[in-house]
Amino acid sequence: MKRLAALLGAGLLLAPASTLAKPGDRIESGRIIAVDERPYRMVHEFALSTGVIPTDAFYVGLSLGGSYTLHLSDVWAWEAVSFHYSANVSTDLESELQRRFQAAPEQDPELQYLVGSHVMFTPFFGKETIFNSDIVFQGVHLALGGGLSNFAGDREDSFRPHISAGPGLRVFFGQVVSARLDLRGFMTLDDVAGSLETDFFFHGFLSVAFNFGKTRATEIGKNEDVDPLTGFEKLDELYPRSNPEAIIVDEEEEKDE
Amino acid sequence: MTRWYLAAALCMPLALSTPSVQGKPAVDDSEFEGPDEFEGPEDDAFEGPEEAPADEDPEPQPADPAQEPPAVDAPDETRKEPEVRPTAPPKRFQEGLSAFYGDNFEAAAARMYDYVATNEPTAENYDWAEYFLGVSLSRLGFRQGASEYLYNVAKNRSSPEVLPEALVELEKIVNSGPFDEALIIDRLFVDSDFGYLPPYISSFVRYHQGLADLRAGRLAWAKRLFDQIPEDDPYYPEAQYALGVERLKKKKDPEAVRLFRLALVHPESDRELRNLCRLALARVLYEEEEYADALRIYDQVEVPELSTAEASLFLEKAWAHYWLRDFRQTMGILYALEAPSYRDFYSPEKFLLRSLIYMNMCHYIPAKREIRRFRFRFQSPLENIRSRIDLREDEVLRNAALQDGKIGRMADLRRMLAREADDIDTVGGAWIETGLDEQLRKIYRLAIRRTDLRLNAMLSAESRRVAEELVEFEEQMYLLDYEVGLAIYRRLRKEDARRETEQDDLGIPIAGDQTYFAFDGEFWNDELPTYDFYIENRCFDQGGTE
Amino acid sequence: MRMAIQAAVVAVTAMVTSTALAQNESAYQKVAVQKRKYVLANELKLSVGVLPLDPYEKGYSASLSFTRHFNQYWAWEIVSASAALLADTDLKDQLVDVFGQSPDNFAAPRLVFTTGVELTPFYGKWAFLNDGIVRHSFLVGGYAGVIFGDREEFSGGDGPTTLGDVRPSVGPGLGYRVFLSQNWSARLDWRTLLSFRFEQVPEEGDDLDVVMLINLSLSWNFGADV
Repeated sequence: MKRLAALLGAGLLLAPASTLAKPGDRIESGRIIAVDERPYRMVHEFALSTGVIPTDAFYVGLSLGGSYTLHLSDVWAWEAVSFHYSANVSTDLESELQRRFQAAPEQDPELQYLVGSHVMFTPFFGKETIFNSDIVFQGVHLALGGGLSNFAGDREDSFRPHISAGPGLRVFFGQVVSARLDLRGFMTLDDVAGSLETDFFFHGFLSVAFNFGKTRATEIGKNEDVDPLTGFEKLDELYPRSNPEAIIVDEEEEKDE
Repeated sequence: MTRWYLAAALCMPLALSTPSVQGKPAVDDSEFEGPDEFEGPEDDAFEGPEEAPADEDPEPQPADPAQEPPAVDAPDETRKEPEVRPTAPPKRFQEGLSAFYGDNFEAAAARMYDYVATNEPTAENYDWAEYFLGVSLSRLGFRQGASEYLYNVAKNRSSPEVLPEALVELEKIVNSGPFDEALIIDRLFVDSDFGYLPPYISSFVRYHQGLADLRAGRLAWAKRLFDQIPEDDPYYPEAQYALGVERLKKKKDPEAVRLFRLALVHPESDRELRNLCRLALARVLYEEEEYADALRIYDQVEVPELSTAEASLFLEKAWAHYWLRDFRQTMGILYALEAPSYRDFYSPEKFLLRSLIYMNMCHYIPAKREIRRFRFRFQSPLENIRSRIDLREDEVLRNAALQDGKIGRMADLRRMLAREADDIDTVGGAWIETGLDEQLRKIYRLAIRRTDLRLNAMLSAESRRVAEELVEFEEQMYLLDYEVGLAIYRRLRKEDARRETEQDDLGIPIAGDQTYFAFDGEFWNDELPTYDFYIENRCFDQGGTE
Repeated sequence: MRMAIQAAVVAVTAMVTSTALAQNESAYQKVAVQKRKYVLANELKLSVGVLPLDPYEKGYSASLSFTRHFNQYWAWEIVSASAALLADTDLKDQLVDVFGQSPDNFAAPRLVFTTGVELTPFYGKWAFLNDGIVRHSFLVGGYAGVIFGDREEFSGGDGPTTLGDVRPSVGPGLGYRVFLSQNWSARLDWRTLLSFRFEQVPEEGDDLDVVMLINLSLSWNFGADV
């Protein structure tokens, strides 16, 4: 709960890493925590996606698209822009209705493409074993955002504003390449004869993401504390003649003399 | 603090075997009345050697190598053939050679053995036949059998041209797993003067002869032998390391540090040697109480994951963190040692360290709990020690004794012998026809009995040493218990109030370059080195004890 | 005190450190997790779910199943029984009301009985904002059984009943489990069964249906040797 409280706090969006939770009195005689270095850092992410949009019973959209995401921290990211084109495929329901029931229902305009922008929140980070052998790292995120949907039909070609939200899973294959599975629900608003109507549909898509860069926009100017010492400096200090390379220099000097 | 690192550094590779009883191999096994008949291979959980009867002196008696018979005697003396086989013609040797170069090592071994077993040692190509027999056995995985025949070739030295080849094969055996140190090192290298050897094998021999001299305290002789090793030879850094260990044994010697560093940066040093050097240097810094720098070098030591060696390294690092008063890291390491992979790692000091940490953080009840855990954990061996039973019978003490490097190597050899003896059954045909399988059985039966004798003797001494240390530990735990009791009622002065340190910050960021997984009894291998202990420091002043 | 403790430390450390660096490899090196926190043995699972059947009907299901886990990878779901409550879609209502179609022409599954083998290759944990830990696993399964169709309405006197409309079915499934404790876990399952439907009314013909089941379950695990 303290996590959630911290989450809701002001300023979290821009400075998440500084938010600390005090464990308080639950530490009686101590607890052990494995502090794992995160193996990968996401910074600039470009993704190519393909998926399905089961908009209604008469057709299914097969989507193709891409996105750019700017990662501000390990928890927060901004999917600045995403675009998904929908290639619509008939479900044969229309012909089935015609064949079985001699019925020909009227069809609504079909989705053509989606343009949006989302905030991505990644509260879960973890790892998975495959047959208790190899380990792959994962993150689970939630996306919330909005944009425009383009619908086209026999009589109209219109843009509808939408809001969208949904979870996603990322599996890391390395610092550069990762795969994403996202499921998003869309609510569109449409002006029908002067009144606003809402419509819902889902979009599930699988992406291959390519990550570039090391330093995030929120980290520019921060220095990493790297211990430059190796322990051998102390040996040089305690035993000045123990460094074989230094002694070679001495011998050469002696020869010169 | 006593220079404990000396003993540790010396264990490798100087701590090779002491001269041991060498039974007459291959034939007359009736003189061995000790261990039971070998009954096949043991599983990996080696429990120690078969026990010698009570009336047998478990201590190995140094044998005079000169009086010992060769590893594999001449055929007419060694084999108890059910029927006398006719003398194999020179053609048999040629057949063996063809099979060898055709990679048919089973057939090659059978033919070479037939030639060796039915001819006099003066026969043409006799030494080569023994050599090819040894190499064929080696290729088939019978390392002990190979060692014995190659030993014969090298020891007899009747054909100078075969000697280097035999030594090359022995080098491969020595550098690739468990081997019979008593046979190859003590009986062959120590007791032989090989005369001129070609450069590609002389360093190997000089190195092991030098090591033997170092063990015997003949430093000048050792140096003379080591000086004959060329600087660009892989044995050169090994020799420097050995000399470093020897110098460190006598006093805190800067030259020892230089030798370790020389071996470390030598281009021919292999990974294991580099790690040994780093370990030795880290221990030198530890001894100088430069714990932070010691840890920096400890961190560069690479050991096989989840091995006893890693557990040992963890423990040393835990002590370094402890003296730096980094109790969180210390306890983290100690928790990692609770993983099932380290269950066999004997370390009563885990309990001591944990108790000390709790005491330093003024958590007195947990400190006392750790002392109770120690007593509970070692109750059985301590009772066994007091009741004066044979200490080798105590599982805890026996396993602890087997952690010793030298006994561990001997136990590895014992396992190898059992495995190879069992493998003889997988080869039939020509081996049975020529009697090679029966001969190998005798060789292995004898080697196993010799090894069991040595193991029993070493285990007896080592178990006694472990037991003495455990008793001493128990006394320390009693003392610590008393100290904890005093600390509970210690008077505090306002002016001694301590300042908060970084270690008092128990906050966990919700994001960042680290992921925090709370430990709840599930051991992930990749997390073991990363455990951190989150505990509130309840001390008003510095608390605890140093 | 310091000296006394040091003496003990010295003795033991010297012994411990005499262990050779080059040790045999540990058997644990081959695994990622040495000891799992939760062990599954006998699993009794109660589920609620949906059957997005076809454009005409949707089903809401309740299921009960029992699974025997042999090890951390393999399990046998000995039996799973599901009953569906069907709901008409707007399209079906429209067809019945506007186009005068008989409700009997729609034949969604009513009962599903399957058995199956499950393989759990993935096991992992997620940290929630560096605090709580969620342990979970992914599984794949293969299932086979029978589906009984929704045929009561037109059974009349002589026609087939629901139990007469038996459809052999087989198909794969995916599952995701979140461990709540040693005894309890939650599961989300998605199964797709290929169902062979024999002709029940004249001229309907044999047909092949794809039946999808999405279940959310609560599992009780018992009898594990932890």
